[in-house]
Amino acid sequence: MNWYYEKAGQRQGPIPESELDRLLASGEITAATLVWSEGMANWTPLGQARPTGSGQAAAPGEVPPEGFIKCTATGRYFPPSEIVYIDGKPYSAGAKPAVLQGVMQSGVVPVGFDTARDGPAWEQREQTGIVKAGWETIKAVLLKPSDAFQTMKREGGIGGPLLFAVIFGSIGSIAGLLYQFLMNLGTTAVAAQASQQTPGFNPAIFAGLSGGMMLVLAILMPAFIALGTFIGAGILQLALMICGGAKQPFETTFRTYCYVQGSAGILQLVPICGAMVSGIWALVCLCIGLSKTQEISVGKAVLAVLLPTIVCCLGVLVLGGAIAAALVAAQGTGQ
Amino acid sequence: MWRPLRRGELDHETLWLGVSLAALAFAWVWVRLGLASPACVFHEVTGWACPGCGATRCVRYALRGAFHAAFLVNPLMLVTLAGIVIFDLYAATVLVLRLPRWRPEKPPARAATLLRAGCVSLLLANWLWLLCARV
Repeated sequence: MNWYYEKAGQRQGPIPESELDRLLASGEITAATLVWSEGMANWTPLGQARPTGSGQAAAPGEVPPEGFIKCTATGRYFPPSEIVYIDGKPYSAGAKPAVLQGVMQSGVVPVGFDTARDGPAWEQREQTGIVKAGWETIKAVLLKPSDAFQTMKREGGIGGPLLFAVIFGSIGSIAGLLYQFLMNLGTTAVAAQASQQTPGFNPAIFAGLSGGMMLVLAILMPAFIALGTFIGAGILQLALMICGGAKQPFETTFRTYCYVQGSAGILQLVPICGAMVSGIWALVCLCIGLSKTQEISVGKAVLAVLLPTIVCCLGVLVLGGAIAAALVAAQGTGQ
Repeated sequence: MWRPLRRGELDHETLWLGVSLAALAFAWVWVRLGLASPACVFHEVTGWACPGCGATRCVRYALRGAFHAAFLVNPLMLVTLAGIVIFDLYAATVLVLRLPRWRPEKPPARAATLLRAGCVSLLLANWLWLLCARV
C-alpha cells in the first residue's frame, strides 16, 4: 500500500509502508501528520489512519494481535519476523535505518515515537475540558506520581504545562495569601488592645495596608509563578547536568516541574499546614517524576532536586551532622 | 555547532532572554522598593557564610554598578551575572538579525565528567572564599 502525507502544506508521496515507518522513526513525521491512501475518504492523522494487519496501530485500550511485538520507535505492532533487536529493544525493520542513524549521531538508542507516553490528562484538555483534565492530572500526579510520569509526554511544547502550573499554582498560592491575611486580621485585634498603650497606632489602617499588599501580591501571583517556574526548571536542569542525570532535554524537565508544581500547589488550599505539605509533597513528586521522565535512578533524581538546597545550605547539613555526631559521642561517654 | 532553529524546536534564545529580563525587572523593583532580602538561617545560627551567602547583596551592588563590591561579596554570583549578560546579548543579536543558533554538541563522557567536576570545584572554591572573607 502506498501513502501520501502532508508536509509544510504540501502533499508528499506516494511512499511505501516501510518508508512511512522510517519517516516516523526518524521524527520527520508524527502521529499527528495528515496522511491519505487509496480507499480513504479524507486526509486523516497518521495515528488514526493505519489499517489493521502488519504494522497495526496501537490505539489506546486496543488489544494487539496475538504474538505481535511492539516497535519501540513507531509504537506499532509487528509479527516477530519483522522485528529486529537493537540494544535489547525491539524495532520494526522499517524503523531500523533511522534508529541506527540516531545511534551513530548521538551515541544512544533514540526513544523515538513513544506512543506509551500520551499523558497526563491535561494534554487532552481540549477534548475533556479544563476542569476535568486539571482534576484528573492533579489526582494522578499527587496520588500515583510513578504511573503519571511513566506515561507523561516528554515533548510537545511548554505552553500547556506552563498554563497548568500558573492556573493551579495561582489558586493555591492565592488561597495561602488569603489565610495569611485572615491571620493578620486576628493579630490586628490583639494589636488593637496594645494600641491603647501605643499612641498613633491605628488598627484599621494596619488592616487596610495589609489587605492592600495581599491584593497586589494576588494580582501579580500568576506572573511570579510563571517566572519562578522557568527559573526553577532551569536550575533543576543544571543540577541534573551536574549530577549526570540530564538524559532528556530541558523541555522534559520543564514539563515535569510544571505538572508537579501545579498539582502540589493546590494543596495550599488546606489551611495552616497546606503550604508545608505542598512543599514537601512537591519534592517527593519531583524526585519520582524526574526519575521516570529522565529515566534515571531515584537516587540521582533526589540528588539533583536537593542540589540547589545543598549549595545554599550545605553548612546546615554539615552542622546537623556535627550535632548528631556530638550527641552520639555524648551518649557514648554517658554510658 | 551553529544551525537554524528546527521546526517545533524549543526557542531557548527567546525563552531565556525573556526570563532574564523579567527577573531583572523583578529584582530592580525589589531593590527600588527597599524590600527585605531573604535571611540565611545557617549564617544567623553559626555566623559562617553558606555557599549561597552574599548572592542577593552581589545582585544589589551589581545593579548599582558597584562591581568591585559585588565581586567581594560573592565572586561566583558576579561571574554568573556576567554570563547571563553575555547570553542575553547573543540571544538579542541572533533574534534581531535572524542568525543561526548555537547548539553545542554533546561532549564526550570524559569531558562531561571533567566539566561536572569543574562546576563542583568552582562552587567549593567560591564557598571557601566566602568563609575566608567572612561575608
